[in-house]
Amino acid sequence: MTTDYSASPPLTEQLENFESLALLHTQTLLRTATRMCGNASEADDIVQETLLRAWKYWHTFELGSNCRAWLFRIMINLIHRRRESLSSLAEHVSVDEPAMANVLRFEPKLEMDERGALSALNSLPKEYRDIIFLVLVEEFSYKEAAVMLNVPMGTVMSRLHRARQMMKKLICPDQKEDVATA
Amino acid sequence: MNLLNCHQINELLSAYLENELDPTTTLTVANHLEKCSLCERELAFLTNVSNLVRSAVEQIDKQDLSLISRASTINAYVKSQIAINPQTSPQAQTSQTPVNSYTSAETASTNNVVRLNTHQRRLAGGKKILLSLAASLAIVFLSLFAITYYSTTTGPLMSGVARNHQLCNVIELSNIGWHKGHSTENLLEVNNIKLPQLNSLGIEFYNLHPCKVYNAPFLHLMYKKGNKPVSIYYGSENTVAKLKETIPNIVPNKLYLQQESDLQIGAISTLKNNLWLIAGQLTEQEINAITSQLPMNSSSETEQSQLFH
Ligand SMILES: [Zn+2]
Ligand SMILES: [Zn+2]
Repeated sequence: MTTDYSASPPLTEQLENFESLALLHTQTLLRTATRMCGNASEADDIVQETLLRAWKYWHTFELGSNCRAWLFRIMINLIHRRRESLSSLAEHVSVDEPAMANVLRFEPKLEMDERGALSALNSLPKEYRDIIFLVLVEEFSYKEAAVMLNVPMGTVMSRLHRARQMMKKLICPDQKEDVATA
Repeated sequence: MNLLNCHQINELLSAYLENELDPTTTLTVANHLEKCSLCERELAFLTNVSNLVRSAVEQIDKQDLSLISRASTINAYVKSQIAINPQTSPQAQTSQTPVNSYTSAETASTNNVVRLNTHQRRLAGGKKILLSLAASLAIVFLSLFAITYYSTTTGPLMSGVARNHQLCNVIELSNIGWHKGHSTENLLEVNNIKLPQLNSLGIEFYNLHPCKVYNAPFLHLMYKKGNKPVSIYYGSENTVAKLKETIPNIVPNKLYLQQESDLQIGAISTLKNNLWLIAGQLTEQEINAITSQLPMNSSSETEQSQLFH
Protein backbone atom coordinates (compact mmCIF):
# COMPACT_ATOMS: atom_id res chain seq x y z
CA MET A 1 0.00 0.00 0.00
CA THR A 2 2.56 2.56 -1.06
CA THR A 3 0.76 5.83 -1.42
CA ASP A 4 1.46 7.59 -4.66
CA TYR A 5 1.22 11.31 -4.16
CA SER A 6 2.81 12.11 -7.47
CA ALA A 7 -0.34 12.10 -9.57
CA SER A 8 -1.97 15.50 -10.04
CA PRO A 9 -4.49 15.96 -7.30
CA PRO A 10 -8.02 16.37 -8.64
CA LEU A 11 -9.88 19.55 -7.78
CA THR A 12 -12.02 17.89 -5.11
CA GLU A 13 -8.90 16.74 -3.36
CA GLN A 14 -7.39 20.19 -3.62
CA LEU A 15 -10.55 21.59 -2.08
CA GLU A 16 -10.43 19.06 0.70
CA ASN A 17 -6.79 19.82 1.35
CA PHE A 18 -7.49 23.52 1.36
CA GLU A 19 -10.24 23.07 3.91
CA SER A 20 -8.27 20.76 6.16
CA LEU A 21 -4.92 22.54 5.86
CA ALA A 22 -5.64 26.21 5.28
CA LEU A 23 -9.07 27.05 6.68
CA LEU A 24 -7.98 25.41 9.88
CA HIS A 25 -5.81 28.44 10.61
CA THR A 26 -8.38 31.21 10.18
CA GLN A 27 -8.69 31.92 13.89
CA THR A 28 -4.92 32.03 14.34
CA LEU A 29 -4.55 34.37 11.39
CA LEU A 30 -7.30 36.54 12.75
CA ARG A 31 -5.74 36.81 16.18
CA THR A 32 -2.41 37.95 14.80
CA ALA A 33 -3.97 40.26 12.22
CA THR A 34 -6.03 41.93 14.94
CA ARG A 35 -2.89 42.43 17.02
CA MET A 36 -0.90 43.80 14.14
CA CYS A 37 -3.56 46.03 12.58
CA GLY A 38 -5.11 47.12 15.83
CA ASN A 39 -8.50 47.10 14.16
CA ALA A 40 -10.89 44.18 14.10
CA SER A 41 -12.69 44.90 10.85
CA GLU A 42 -9.42 45.64 9.03
CA ALA A 43 -8.13 42.34 10.37
CA ASP A 44 -11.22 40.55 9.06
CA ASP A 45 -10.66 42.02 5.60
CA ILE A 46 -7.01 41.08 5.59
CA VAL A 47 -7.61 37.51 6.68
CA GLN A 48 -10.36 37.11 4.10
CA GLU A 49 -8.08 38.41 1.38
CA THR A 50 -5.27 36.19 2.64
CA LEU A 51 -7.41 33.09 2.30
CA LEU A 52 -8.76 34.03 -1.13
CA ARG A 53 -5.21 34.62 -2.34
CA ALA A 54 -4.15 31.37 -0.73
CA TRP A 55 -6.81 29.52 -2.69
CA LYS A 56 -5.83 31.30 -5.88
CA TYR A 57 -2.25 30.09 -5.46
CA TRP A 58 -3.11 26.82 -3.76
CA HIS A 59 -1.58 24.82 -6.58
CA THR A 60 1.77 26.38 -5.73
CA PHE A 61 1.53 25.37 -2.09
CA GLU A 62 3.70 22.43 -1.51
CA LEU A 63 1.92 19.79 0.54
CA GLY A 64 5.02 18.88 2.47
CA SER A 65 5.60 22.36 3.82
CA ASN A 66 4.14 24.29 6.70
CA CYS A 67 0.77 25.70 5.73
CA ARG A 68 0.45 28.02 8.70
CA ALA A 69 3.79 29.66 7.84
CA TRP A 70 2.78 29.91 4.18
CA LEU A 71 -0.49 31.64 5.10
CA PHE A 72 1.23 33.97 7.52
CA ARG A 73 3.65 34.97 4.82
CA ILE A 74 0.80 35.95 2.53
CA MET A 75 -0.92 37.80 5.35
CA ILE A 76 2.15 39.73 6.55
CA ASN A 77 2.68 40.77 2.96
CA LEU A 78 -0.84 42.18 2.79
CA ILE A 79 -0.45 43.91 6.14
CA HIS A 80 2.78 45.56 5.01
CA ARG A 81 1.18 46.73 1.79
CA ARG A 82 -1.70 48.15 3.73
CA ARG A 83 0.67 49.97 6.06
CA GLU A 84 2.58 51.40 3.11
CA SER A 85 -0.55 52.72 1.47
CA LEU A 86 -1.72 54.15 4.76
CA SER A 87 1.50 56.03 5.29
CA SER A 88 1.52 57.39 1.74
CA LEU A 89 -2.07 58.53 2.14
CA ALA A 90 -1.46 60.44 5.30
CA GLU A 91 2.03 61.74 5.16
CA HIS A 92 1.92 64.15 8.01
CA VAL A 93 -0.53 62.32 10.18
CA SER A 94 0.83 59.77 12.54
CA VAL A 95 -0.49 56.47 11.25
CA ASP A 96 1.02 54.24 13.81
CA GLU A 97 -1.69 51.76 14.57
CA PRO A 98 -3.50 51.85 17.86
CA ALA A 99 -2.15 49.33 20.25
CA MET A 100 -3.81 46.00 20.60
CA ALA A 101 -5.54 46.62 23.91
CA ASN A 102 -7.20 49.79 22.63
CA VAL A 103 -9.16 48.02 19.92
CA LEU A 104 -10.62 45.26 22.00
CA ARG A 105 -14.34 45.49 22.43
CA PHE A 106 -14.07 44.20 25.93
CA GLU A 107 -11.99 44.85 28.99
CA PRO A 108 -9.73 41.82 29.41
CA LYS A 109 -9.30 40.50 32.93
CA LEU A 110 -5.58 40.32 33.49
CA GLU A 111 -3.16 39.93 36.33
CA MET A 112 -1.29 43.07 37.32
CA ASP A 113 2.00 41.98 35.76
CA GLU A 114 0.29 40.76 32.60
CA ARG A 115 -1.29 44.17 32.29
CA GLY A 116 2.14 45.74 32.70
CA ALA A 117 3.59 43.49 30.02
CA LEU A 118 0.75 44.35 27.68
CA SER A 119 1.13 48.09 28.04
CA ALA A 120 4.89 47.74 27.60
CA LEU A 121 4.25 45.75 24.45
CA ASN A 122 1.84 48.37 23.18
CA SER A 123 4.42 51.09 23.55
CA LEU A 124 6.96 49.32 21.32
CA PRO A 125 7.44 50.41 17.70
CA LYS A 126 5.41 48.14 15.45
CA GLU A 127 8.30 46.25 13.89
CA TYR A 128 9.33 45.14 17.37
CA ARG A 129 5.77 44.26 18.29
CA ASP A 130 5.42 42.21 15.12
CA ILE A 131 8.46 40.12 15.87
CA ILE A 132 7.16 39.38 19.35
CA PHE A 133 3.83 38.24 17.96
CA LEU A 134 5.44 36.03 15.34
CA VAL A 135 8.22 34.42 17.35
CA LEU A 136 7.15 34.60 20.98
CA VAL A 137 3.42 34.14 20.59
CA GLU A 138 3.03 32.19 17.35
CA GLU A 139 6.33 30.37 17.90
CA PHE A 140 7.63 30.63 14.38
CA SER A 141 11.33 29.92 13.97
CA TYR A 142 13.71 32.78 13.22
CA LYS A 143 14.02 31.47 9.70
CA GLU A 144 10.28 31.41 9.13
CA ALA A 145 9.88 34.89 10.61
CA ALA A 146 12.72 36.19 8.44
CA VAL A 147 11.00 34.88 5.31
CA MET A 148 7.68 36.42 6.34
CA LEU A 149 9.12 39.80 7.18
CA ASN A 150 11.52 39.72 4.26
CA VAL A 151 14.52 40.53 6.45
CA PRO A 152 17.76 38.63 7.17
CA MET A 153 17.72 36.14 10.03
CA GLY A 154 20.21 38.26 11.93
CA THR A 155 17.69 41.10 11.94
CA VAL A 156 15.05 38.84 13.44
CA MET A 157 17.49 37.83 16.14
CA SER A 158 18.61 41.34 17.01
CA ARG A 159 15.12 42.83 16.79
CA LEU A 160 13.71 40.23 19.12
CA HIS A 161 16.53 40.78 21.56
CA ARG A 162 16.03 44.52 21.41
CA ALA A 163 12.30 44.06 21.89
CA ARG A 164 12.86 41.97 25.00
CA GLN A 165 15.33 44.50 26.36
CA MET A 166 12.88 47.34 25.84
CA MET A 167 10.12 45.35 27.47
CA LYS A 168 12.34 44.54 30.41
CA LYS A 169 13.20 48.19 30.89
CA LEU A 170 9.54 49.19 30.74
CA ILE A 171 8.38 46.47 33.07
CA CYS A 172 11.09 46.91 35.65
CA PRO A 173 12.58 50.38 35.10
CA ASP A 174 14.61 50.30 38.31
CA GLN A 175 16.53 47.23 37.18
CA LYS A 176 20.10 48.36 36.81
CA GLU A 177 21.81 47.60 33.57
CA ASP A 178 24.63 45.84 35.32
CA VAL A 179 25.05 43.19 32.66
CA ALA A 180 25.46 45.44 29.71
CA THR A 181 28.14 47.44 31.45
CA ALA A 182 29.92 44.53 33.10
CA MET B 1 36.06 27.23 22.42
CA ASN B 2 35.64 30.96 22.24
CA LEU B 3 35.38 32.75 25.53
CA LEU B 4 32.78 35.47 25.32
CA ASN B 5 32.27 38.22 27.85
CA CYS B 6 28.99 38.97 29.58
CA HIS B 7 28.00 41.59 27.07
CA GLN B 8 28.46 39.23 24.15
CA ILE B 9 26.63 36.46 25.96
CA ASN B 10 23.84 38.87 26.75
CA GLU B 11 23.30 39.50 23.04
CA LEU B 12 22.80 35.77 22.50
CA LEU B 13 20.37 35.10 25.32
CA SER B 14 17.24 35.72 23.30
CA ALA B 15 18.25 33.26 20.62
CA TYR B 16 19.36 30.86 23.34
CA LEU B 17 15.84 30.95 24.78
CA GLU B 18 14.32 30.11 21.42
CA ASN B 19 16.78 27.31 20.81
CA GLU B 20 18.03 29.13 17.72
CA LEU B 21 21.78 28.99 18.31
CA ASP B 22 24.03 26.42 16.69
CA PRO B 23 25.23 23.63 19.00
CA THR B 24 28.66 25.16 19.63
CA THR B 25 27.31 28.56 20.58
CA THR B 26 24.58 26.96 22.68
CA LEU B 27 27.31 25.18 24.60
CA THR B 28 29.30 28.37 25.03
CA VAL B 29 26.27 30.16 26.43
CA ALA B 30 25.26 27.23 28.65
CA ASN B 31 28.81 27.02 30.00
CA HIS B 32 28.87 30.71 30.75
CA LEU B 33 25.48 30.59 32.47
CA GLU B 34 26.69 27.85 34.78
CA LYS B 35 29.35 30.15 36.12
CA CYS B 36 27.87 33.63 35.82
CA SER B 37 24.98 34.53 38.09
CA LEU B 38 24.66 37.95 36.46
CA CYS B 39 23.87 36.48 33.05
CA GLU B 40 21.75 33.80 34.64
CA ARG B 41 19.66 36.52 36.25
CA GLU B 42 19.37 38.34 32.95
CA LEU B 43 18.15 35.14 31.33
CA ALA B 44 15.55 34.76 34.06
CA PHE B 45 14.36 38.33 33.37
CA LEU B 46 14.07 37.71 29.63
CA THR B 47 12.24 34.45 30.25
CA ASN B 48 9.90 36.24 32.58
CA VAL B 49 9.15 38.94 29.99
CA SER B 50 8.34 36.28 27.41
CA ASN B 51 6.10 34.37 29.76
CA LEU B 52 4.21 37.49 30.74
CA VAL B 53 3.60 38.43 27.12
CA ARG B 54 2.44 34.94 26.30
CA SER B 55 0.08 34.67 29.22
CA ALA B 56 -1.36 38.16 28.67
CA VAL B 57 -2.02 37.46 25.00
CA GLU B 58 -3.39 34.04 25.82
CA GLN B 59 -5.80 35.54 28.33
CA ILE B 60 -7.02 38.06 25.77
CA ASP B 61 -7.54 35.37 23.14
CA LYS B 62 -9.42 33.23 25.60
CA GLN B 63 -11.71 36.09 26.53
CA ASP B 64 -12.23 37.41 23.02
CA LEU B 65 -15.27 35.38 22.08
CA SER B 66 -15.77 37.34 18.87
CA LEU B 67 -12.83 35.48 17.27
CA ILE B 68 -14.77 32.26 16.77
CA SER B 69 -17.72 33.85 15.03
CA ARG B 70 -15.52 36.16 12.96
CA ALA B 71 -13.46 33.19 11.80
CA SER B 72 -16.48 31.13 10.85
CA THR B 73 -17.99 34.07 8.94
CA ILE B 74 -14.76 34.45 7.00
CA ASN B 75 -14.52 30.73 6.28
CA ALA B 76 -18.12 30.65 5.07
CA TYR B 77 -17.43 33.57 2.76
CA VAL B 78 -14.23 32.05 1.39
CA LYS B 79 -15.97 28.74 0.75
CA SER B 80 -18.81 30.49 -1.07
CA GLN B 81 -16.28 32.31 -3.27
CA ILE B 82 -14.54 29.03 -4.04
CA ALA B 83 -17.88 27.46 -4.94
CA ILE B 84 -18.49 30.27 -7.44
CA ASN B 85 -15.00 30.04 -8.87
CA PRO B 86 -13.37 26.71 -8.07
CA GLN B 87 -10.39 27.28 -10.35
CA THR B 88 -7.36 28.01 -8.22
CA SER B 89 -5.81 30.22 -10.90
CA PRO B 90 -5.31 30.32 -14.67
CA GLN B 91 -2.02 28.49 -14.26
CA ALA B 92 -3.57 25.79 -12.15
CA GLN B 93 -4.15 23.42 -15.02
CA THR B 94 -0.62 23.42 -16.33
CA SER B 95 1.19 23.41 -13.05
CA GLN B 96 -0.64 20.56 -11.40
CA THR B 97 2.45 18.47 -11.53
CA PRO B 98 4.51 16.51 -9.04
CA VAL B 99 6.25 19.69 -7.87
CA ASN B 100 3.56 20.31 -5.31
CA SER B 101 3.41 16.87 -3.89
CA TYR B 102 5.47 14.04 -2.60
CA THR B 103 7.34 11.91 -5.00
CA SER B 104 6.95 8.45 -3.68
CA ALA B 105 9.52 5.84 -4.36
CA GLU B 106 8.82 2.13 -4.25
CA THR B 107 9.98 0.62 -1.02
CA ALA B 108 11.05 -2.95 -1.29
CA SER B 109 11.07 -4.18 2.26
CA THR B 110 7.57 -3.37 3.35
CA ASN B 111 4.27 -2.43 1.85
CA ASN B 112 3.33 -0.12 4.67
CA VAL B 113 5.95 2.57 4.17
CA VAL B 114 5.65 5.94 2.55
CA ARG B 115 8.85 7.68 1.62
CA LEU B 116 8.56 11.44 1.62
CA ASN B 117 10.57 13.62 -0.66
CA THR B 118 9.26 17.09 -0.79
CA HIS B 119 10.23 19.73 -3.24
CA GLN B 120 10.79 22.93 -1.43
CA ARG B 121 9.45 25.89 -3.30
CA ARG B 122 7.98 28.74 -1.39
CA LEU B 123 6.28 31.25 -3.58
CA ALA B 124 4.35 34.41 -3.25
CA GLY B 125 3.35 37.00 -5.77
CA GLY B 126 2.82 37.11 -9.48
CA LYS B 127 6.29 37.11 -10.99
CA LYS B 128 7.27 34.02 -9.12
CA ILE B 129 4.31 32.14 -10.50
CA LEU B 130 5.95 32.31 -13.90
CA LEU B 131 9.11 30.96 -12.37
CA SER B 132 7.19 28.16 -10.75
CA LEU B 133 5.54 27.37 -14.04
CA ALA B 134 8.91 27.16 -15.68
CA ALA B 135 10.18 24.99 -12.86
CA SER B 136 7.27 22.61 -13.06
CA LEU B 137 7.62 22.31 -16.81
CA ALA B 138 11.28 21.53 -16.31
CA ILE B 139 10.39 18.81 -13.85
CA VAL B 140 7.77 17.35 -16.16
CA PHE B 141 10.47 17.34 -18.81
CA LEU B 142 12.90 15.61 -16.49
CA SER B 143 10.43 12.99 -15.42
CA LEU B 144 9.83 12.10 -19.03
CA PHE B 145 13.35 10.78 -18.97
CA ALA B 146 12.68 8.95 -15.74
CA ILE B 147 15.07 11.06 -13.74
CA THR B 148 13.92 11.37 -10.18
CA TYR B 149 14.24 14.81 -8.75
CA TYR B 150 14.71 14.96 -5.01
CA SER B 151 15.15 18.03 -2.94
CA THR B 152 16.97 17.91 0.36
CA THR B 153 14.53 20.16 2.16
CA THR B 154 11.51 18.61 3.73
CA GLY B 155 8.52 19.14 5.99
CA PRO B 156 9.06 21.22 9.14
CA LEU B 157 8.39 18.56 11.77
CA MET B 158 10.69 16.03 10.13
CA SER B 159 13.45 18.64 9.66
CA GLY B 160 12.89 19.72 13.26
CA VAL B 161 13.57 16.16 14.34
CA ALA B 162 16.89 16.13 12.52
CA ARG B 163 17.93 19.41 14.13
CA ASN B 164 16.76 18.41 17.59
CA HIS B 165 18.45 15.02 17.37
CA GLN B 166 21.80 16.66 16.70
CA LEU B 167 21.43 19.49 19.20
CA CYS B 168 20.21 17.33 22.09
CA ASN B 169 23.08 14.95 21.64
CA VAL B 170 25.63 17.73 21.84
CA ILE B 171 23.99 19.10 24.97
CA GLU B 172 23.56 15.72 26.59
CA LEU B 173 27.12 14.57 25.96
CA SER B 174 28.60 17.81 27.23
CA ASN B 175 27.40 17.05 30.76
CA ILE B 176 26.13 20.56 31.33
CA GLY B 177 22.78 20.14 29.67
CA TRP B 178 19.51 21.73 30.67
CA HIS B 179 18.09 18.25 30.54
CA LYS B 180 19.72 17.03 33.71
CA GLY B 181 17.83 16.29 36.86
CA HIS B 182 14.85 14.44 35.43
CA SER B 183 13.97 11.12 36.94
CA THR B 184 13.71 8.52 34.22
CA GLU B 185 11.16 6.35 35.97
CA ASN B 186 8.89 9.21 36.75
CA LEU B 187 8.69 10.52 33.18
CA LEU B 188 7.81 7.11 31.82
CA GLU B 189 5.28 6.60 34.57
CA VAL B 190 3.60 9.96 34.03
CA ASN B 191 3.25 9.20 30.35
CA ASN B 192 2.24 5.65 31.01
CA ILE B 193 4.61 4.08 28.51
CA LYS B 194 7.06 1.26 28.76
CA LEU B 195 10.57 1.92 27.62
CA PRO B 196 11.03 0.35 24.17
CA GLN B 197 13.65 -2.42 24.52
CA LEU B 198 15.95 -2.36 21.51
CA ASN B 199 18.88 -4.37 22.88
CA SER B 200 18.16 -7.18 20.44
CA LEU B 201 18.89 -4.68 17.66
CA GLY B 202 22.16 -3.62 19.27
CA ILE B 203 20.60 -0.33 20.33
CA GLU B 204 20.97 0.64 23.95
CA PHE B 205 18.98 3.12 25.95
CA TYR B 206 20.90 5.66 28.01
CA ASN B 207 18.82 8.73 28.82
CA LEU B 208 15.54 10.59 28.42
CA HIS B 209 14.10 14.06 28.91
CA PRO B 210 11.11 16.19 27.91
CA CYS B 211 11.90 17.98 24.67
CA LYS B 212 10.41 20.27 22.07
CA VAL B 213 10.50 19.53 18.36
CA TYR B 214 9.04 22.10 15.99
CA ASN B 215 7.46 23.65 19.04
CA ALA B 216 5.61 20.51 19.98
CA PRO B 217 6.26 18.67 23.26
CA PHE B 218 7.79 15.20 23.07
CA LEU B 219 9.41 12.74 25.38
CA HIS B 220 12.91 12.33 23.97
CA LEU B 221 14.34 8.83 24.49
CA MET B 222 18.05 8.69 23.74
CA TYR B 223 19.67 5.48 22.58
CA LYS B 224 23.03 4.48 21.16
CA LYS B 225 23.92 2.07 18.45
CA GLY B 226 27.65 1.63 18.93
CA ASN B 227 28.82 5.22 19.22
CA LYS B 228 26.05 6.61 16.98
CA PRO B 229 23.11 8.29 18.69
CA VAL B 230 19.56 7.15 17.97
CA SER B 231 16.62 9.29 19.06
CA ILE B 232 13.09 8.12 19.67
CA TYR B 233 10.42 10.70 20.38
CA TYR B 234 7.01 10.07 21.82
CA GLY B 235 4.27 12.70 21.56
CA SER B 236 0.56 13.05 22.08
CA GLU B 237 -2.31 14.15 19.83
CA ASN B 238 -1.24 17.71 19.21
CA THR B 239 2.02 16.38 17.83
CA VAL B 240 0.07 14.29 15.34
CA ALA B 241 -1.59 17.55 14.30
CA LYS B 242 1.87 18.98 13.59
CA LEU B 243 2.63 16.05 11.32
CA LYS B 244 -0.68 16.57 9.56
CA GLU B 245 0.66 19.88 8.34
CA THR B 246 2.98 17.73 6.26
CA ILE B 247 0.84 14.66 5.65
CA PRO B 248 -2.83 15.67 5.62
CA ASN B 249 -4.26 12.16 5.60
CA ILE B 250 -1.94 10.38 7.93
CA VAL B 251 -2.73 6.67 8.35
CA PRO B 252 -2.09 5.09 11.77
CA ASN B 253 0.49 2.31 11.97
CA LYS B 254 1.97 3.36 8.67
CA LEU B 255 5.62 4.33 8.64
CA TYR B 256 6.52 7.60 6.97
CA LEU B 257 10.20 7.87 6.10
CA GLN B 258 12.35 10.77 5.19
CA GLN B 259 16.05 11.26 4.60
CA GLU B 260 17.66 14.40 6.05
CA SER B 261 21.32 14.46 4.95
CA ASP B 262 22.82 11.38 6.64
CA LEU B 263 19.89 10.92 8.99
CA GLN B 264 16.96 8.64 8.37
CA ILE B 265 13.77 9.86 10.01
CA GLY B 266 10.68 7.78 10.56
CA ALA B 267 7.25 8.81 11.80
CA ILE B 268 4.45 6.52 12.81
CA SER B 269 1.19 7.41 14.52
CA THR B 270 -0.68 4.98 16.71
CA LEU B 271 -4.32 3.93 16.78
CA LYS B 272 -4.73 6.05 19.88
CA ASN B 273 -3.40 9.05 18.02
CA ASN B 274 -0.01 9.32 19.66
CA LEU B 275 3.12 9.77 17.61
CA TRP B 276 6.49 8.06 17.49
CA LEU B 277 9.44 9.62 15.70
CA ILE B 278 12.73 7.89 15.11
CA ALA B 279 15.99 9.52 14.01
CA GLY B 280 19.52 8.30 13.48
CA GLN B 281 22.06 7.15 10.97
CA LEU B 282 19.94 4.12 10.26
CA THR B 283 18.83 2.09 7.30
CA GLU B 284 15.21 1.74 6.38
CA GLN B 285 15.31 -1.87 7.61
CA GLU B 286 16.63 -0.76 10.97
CA ILE B 287 13.88 1.84 11.32
CA ASN B 288 11.36 -0.85 10.47
CA ALA B 289 12.82 -3.16 13.09
CA ILE B 290 12.69 -0.40 15.71
CA THR B 291 9.10 0.36 14.80
CA SER B 292 8.08 -3.20 15.52
CA GLN B 293 9.37 -2.80 19.08
CA LEU B 294 7.34 0.32 19.85
CA PRO B 295 4.12 0.08 21.83
CA MET B 296 1.56 0.81 19.15
CA ASN B 297 -1.91 -0.26 20.21
CA SER B 298 -1.28 -2.34 23.25
CA SER B 299 -2.33 -1.56 26.78
CA SER B 300 1.12 -0.09 27.29
CA GLU B 301 0.03 2.84 25.23
CA THR B 302 -1.68 5.51 27.24
CA GLU B 303 -5.27 6.64 26.61
CA GLN B 304 -4.35 10.25 26.53
CA SER B 305 -0.77 11.22 26.97
CA GLN B 306 -0.32 13.43 29.96
CA LEU B 307 2.90 14.81 28.62
CA PHE B 308 3.34 18.35 29.94
CA HIS B 309 -0.28 18.68 30.95
ZN1 LIG C 1 27.99 36.71 32.36
ZN1 LIG D 1 15.90 16.33 23.36
